[in-house]
Amino acid sequence: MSENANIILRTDSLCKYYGAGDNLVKAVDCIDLTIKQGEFVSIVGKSGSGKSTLLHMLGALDNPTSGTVWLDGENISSFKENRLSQIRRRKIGFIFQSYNLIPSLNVWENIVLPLGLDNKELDEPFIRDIVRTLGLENKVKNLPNTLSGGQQQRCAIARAIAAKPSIILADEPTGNLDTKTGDEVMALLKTSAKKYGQTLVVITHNEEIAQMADRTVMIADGKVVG
Amino acid sequence: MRPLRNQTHFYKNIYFPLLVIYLLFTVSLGFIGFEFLNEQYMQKLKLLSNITGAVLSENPSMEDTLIDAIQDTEWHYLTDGFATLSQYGYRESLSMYEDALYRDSLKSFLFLVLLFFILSFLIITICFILFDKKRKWQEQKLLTLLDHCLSDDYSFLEQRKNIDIIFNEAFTDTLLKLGNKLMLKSQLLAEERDNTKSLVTDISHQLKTPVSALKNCLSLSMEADSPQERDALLERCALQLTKLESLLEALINISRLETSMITLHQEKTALADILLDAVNTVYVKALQKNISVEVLTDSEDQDESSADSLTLSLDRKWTVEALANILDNAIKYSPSGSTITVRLSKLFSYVRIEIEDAGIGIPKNEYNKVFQRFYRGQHPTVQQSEGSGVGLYLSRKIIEEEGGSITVKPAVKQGSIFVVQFPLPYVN
Repeated sequence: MSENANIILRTDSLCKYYGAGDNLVKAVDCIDLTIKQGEFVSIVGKSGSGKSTLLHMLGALDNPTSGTVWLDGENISSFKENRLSQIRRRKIGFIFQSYNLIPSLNVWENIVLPLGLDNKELDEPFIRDIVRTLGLENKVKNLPNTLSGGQQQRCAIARAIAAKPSIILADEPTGNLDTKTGDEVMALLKTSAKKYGQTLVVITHNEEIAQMADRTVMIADGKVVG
Repeated sequence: MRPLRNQTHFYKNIYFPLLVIYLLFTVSLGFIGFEFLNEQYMQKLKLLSNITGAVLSENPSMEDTLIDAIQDTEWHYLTDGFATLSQYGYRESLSMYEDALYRDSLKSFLFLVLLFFILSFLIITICFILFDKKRKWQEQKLLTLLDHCLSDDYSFLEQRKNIDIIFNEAFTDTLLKLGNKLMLKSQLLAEERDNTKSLVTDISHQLKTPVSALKNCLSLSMEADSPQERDALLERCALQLTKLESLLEALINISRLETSMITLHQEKTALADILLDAVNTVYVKALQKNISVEVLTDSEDQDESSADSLTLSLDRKWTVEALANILDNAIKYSPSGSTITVRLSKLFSYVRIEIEDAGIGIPKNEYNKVFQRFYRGQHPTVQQSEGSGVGLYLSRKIIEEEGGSITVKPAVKQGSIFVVQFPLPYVN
């Protein structure tokens, strides 16, 4: 069996620089990262350490200055924009601090929206199961602004899992939530990622949240420090 | 066999050119057919004009009869005409082929039909062969791929490009997902095997020290000079044995959980009962150190479904064990006379149990490690106290198996807070 076969995401000396000369900021500086299929990895760093920039590049939301990102064996840093949006839709599930739900659509519509964009047939039992797992069963008809922060984040988690992506990227998923709700959302995220065999990368500055992960990557000044 | 590249390639390089050739051929055939018919029509016109000219130059009064015959659709003069013409070799049964006038046209027409047939046949055959080749090629590749899967070789997963040219995108995606899933499964199996191996190594290692201590104690006691010394040594032996016994018990628990020899029997159990049992387990130890255990329920939630009257789907025996381990640690590392607080709160989909002690606390970089098998903290107090590094590991194992989670965070003043979350019934 090939040793690298189960690697879902890999970066090769990934760099992102802003500015030039004296103003050069190395947001991400030569990061080599490997994430295995089914793993739950937390990326921990203080604000400004470059962790969000890293996540944006992992999720094909931003282009690296140099270096490559391999997702599912494909070099996504070489893709054109329309192929990238396809990759983002099919292979990556995003969860953001600010939920990013569409306010005019109800919970169910928000969850199935990315699938509709891809003309995929709706695996309704699967989505119902996710909704049940996340405790949103009674809220599917609700609009996002009638839900609490925790519930909105659950909805975002359901949306991320529904498309059966190769990897779920979460950027400070509990950043807007109080500690208890945050812990709860993290436990749900972990449980559902495990249940549906998802690879999970969570970015956080909170080391208490990071300990739920199988592995923690510490980032400081754009570099991996442990 | 040459690969046909992918679908678009196939259409671009084979299907469209063939279609164009076929269309051009059909159109030109149409033109030729039209020309052919037109020639026959001109031929007939010429013949009529010739006859009309000949007859009218001899007998102009015949004009009416002649025009009548030309426009006659009921063939009144047909029999008479044939009778006369037959004398010159024009029989009714005369085939077109025998007429020199038509022979060439007929030949070229038949030739065209033949050509059309051959070309259609060729194009259809070529298409069929190409499709068949492609199908066979795909089948062959698919079989090779499946063979790789069967022999646990998943290197093909890395070469998406090689698979992309064989099948269309959706097929490739599904195929790769299937491969990934299989690979993950076989890896899990291998991991489990390794896990069992390391468990055996770890356990034997853990047992080695107390057993050799016991052995030394015993051999010393046998060589003891006085009965008092022997008694003292034997007492130490007994102590070692007790330690060994408790270690063994913990190890048996782990190995059972690890190798899935016991499955948790999750039944509806009152959380209050479990907590009570867990506190009772450590009660004596707490009493010895004069530590009080306080259980608080979230004050804002005092209705009938408040946290302590909840019924959860848990394995009573093992969950008690898991919570008792945490409480046991809390007591072990807390100063005498302090208080351990257990706070319950019911959240949206979990019930949250916070166990706060006033102990030595856990440094940030050990948060993850304290839940690892046989890990013991670096703090001198931890190093000096008894323990095998099994308790919290077992707790985490049990709690996660039940769909819950356990984390640790620092208490506000001093000590640690262990946060345990159990799923509320409707989550599972």
